[in-house]
Amino acid sequence: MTPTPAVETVELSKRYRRRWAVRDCTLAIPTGRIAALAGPNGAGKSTLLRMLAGLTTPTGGEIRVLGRDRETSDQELLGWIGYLDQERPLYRGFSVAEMLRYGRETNPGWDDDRAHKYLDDLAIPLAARIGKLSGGQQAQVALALCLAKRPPVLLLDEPSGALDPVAREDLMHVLLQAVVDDGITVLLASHAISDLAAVCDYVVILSAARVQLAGELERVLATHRLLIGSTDRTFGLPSDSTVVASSRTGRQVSTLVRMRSPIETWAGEVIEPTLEEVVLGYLRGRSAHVEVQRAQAGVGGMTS
Amino acid sequence: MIWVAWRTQRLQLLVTLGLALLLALWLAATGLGMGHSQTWKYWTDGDVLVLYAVPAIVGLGVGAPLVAGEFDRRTQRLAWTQGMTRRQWLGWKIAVGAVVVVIASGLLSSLTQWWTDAISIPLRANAGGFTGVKILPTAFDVTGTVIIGYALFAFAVGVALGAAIRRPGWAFAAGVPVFIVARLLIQLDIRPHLIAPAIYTNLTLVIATKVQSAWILASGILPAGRTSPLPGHSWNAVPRSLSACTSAVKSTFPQSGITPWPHCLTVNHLHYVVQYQPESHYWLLQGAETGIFVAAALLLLGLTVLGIRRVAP
Repeated sequence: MTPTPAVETVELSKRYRRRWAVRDCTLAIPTGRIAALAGPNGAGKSTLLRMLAGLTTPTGGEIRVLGRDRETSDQELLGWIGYLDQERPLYRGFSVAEMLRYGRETNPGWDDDRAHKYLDDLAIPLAARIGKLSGGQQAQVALALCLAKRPPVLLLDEPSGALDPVAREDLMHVLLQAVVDDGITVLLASHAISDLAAVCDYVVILSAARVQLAGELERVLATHRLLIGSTDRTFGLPSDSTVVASSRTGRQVSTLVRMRSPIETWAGEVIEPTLEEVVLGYLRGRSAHVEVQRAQAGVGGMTS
Repeated sequence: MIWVAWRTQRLQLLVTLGLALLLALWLAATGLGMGHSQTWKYWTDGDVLVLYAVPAIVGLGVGAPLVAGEFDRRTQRLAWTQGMTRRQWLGWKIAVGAVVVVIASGLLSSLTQWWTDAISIPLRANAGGFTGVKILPTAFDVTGTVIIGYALFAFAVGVALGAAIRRPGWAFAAGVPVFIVARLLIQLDIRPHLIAPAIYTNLTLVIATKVQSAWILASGILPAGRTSPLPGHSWNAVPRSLSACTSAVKSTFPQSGITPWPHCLTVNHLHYVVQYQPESHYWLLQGAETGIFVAAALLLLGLTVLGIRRVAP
């Protein structure tokens, strides 16, 4: 018997008028993982997280969190999920101490020591008004609220957007620590894949409202190959492999291939791709031209 | 949770309480001044307008930003992902907001009550049988418990519209016509009949002082035994036979000064009827009208609490 996934969705969909924000999304993220939710802006990452957090009502499909059906009115389940919105909403008129009190009064499992320690380490003064803090400090307060709730499932939407590189690394460290100490599951959405690559061990690629790929990072990397050569012709590849995307830089062509049996007959160079290369390949291969451009802007292009 | 409900709407709650205190000071100053000078003045039209507007301002001022203010600060996604359901969250906010609305409008109510009594007691003493003061519409709706009912209703309208419109300013603006229509509807069409009116009849067409000073709803000449017009007839319809009788009496006894009414009404099997709400119905009517507005408020708040889970984040 497989253990209960931390987050499970079955054909989850959300439609806004005529536009599908998320369509037929089926996922099962095991507990204790840091899962990267990658995709360009507008791919449906935020909508997916908001549905998991119970904010947005799905148009169709099912959500189970730690084996329990998602219901907006389920108070216990609300306590299981820590959610950090993309906008990192806080009451700007509150002091930091008041913001923590807000968290304490609205969350049964609140860990005051953890919140205080987190903010102490960052030297964020408790008496300061939220509105007077820098964007990065506000993001840290919002994160402290999520962490002090001690949720078994943490959903973070672009958590590192306002953070400087050092703070980003600290955040990733904190998340890793929480996963190791408490066995929590983190689902982390970002279009900056380089952030995710260092910590995640599970990957979900979302593009144009659909899940393009989901799986353990190791397995994803092991089943993909980047073929570098002077041509994009793929004869000689095993018949059970699929070309995901290919791109040309100068005279060189890089082709991302998903394989089921080892590639032995390829004339050029065969290398194991990085997470970034896999993500970019899927975004190139499946989404519209405009979105690819956006993704490139966010990701920095293929590095080969 | 009370702290959270208070802290997230502290500004409007403090402004509301401040406004109520300011009005209280104004009422106390004018009321006390009146007592000293022994000159009694009743509400001016301006005073009445202010007192009409206050329950709406208090109610909408607290109600409109209660949900919509969270959208305005974009904090609803924070509030709705903490460890409590939206219904619990809204329930607490409504409870704290409603308490402040009741305190503010209750303070106003007790002061206008005292103010009106300060006038009506000497007035009553002076005018002998003069009894009716607070039953008349301009005094009725600025005194008593109805003020609290109006304020709670405006509060509920503000909360519901705020959840639907998501902008506090627009919700407030949209609430004003809703409040005015509800008030006019009740005052003009429903209040007169909430309690069966008192009936005064005679044959002389002279109205007793106690009735004169009450809230007269209708009067007219009707068939003997009836206290309201026959269906399809108006209060003003006077049978032709009655006009014939009175002109006959007048031409027969031109100088006598005899009023023809008792005779002519009797021979035509008619009588004069006045429907009115006496001062003694004041608290009955206050209670009934307050009940209507409080019930409407509870209904609106209940629907909003039920519907809040469907609101987009």
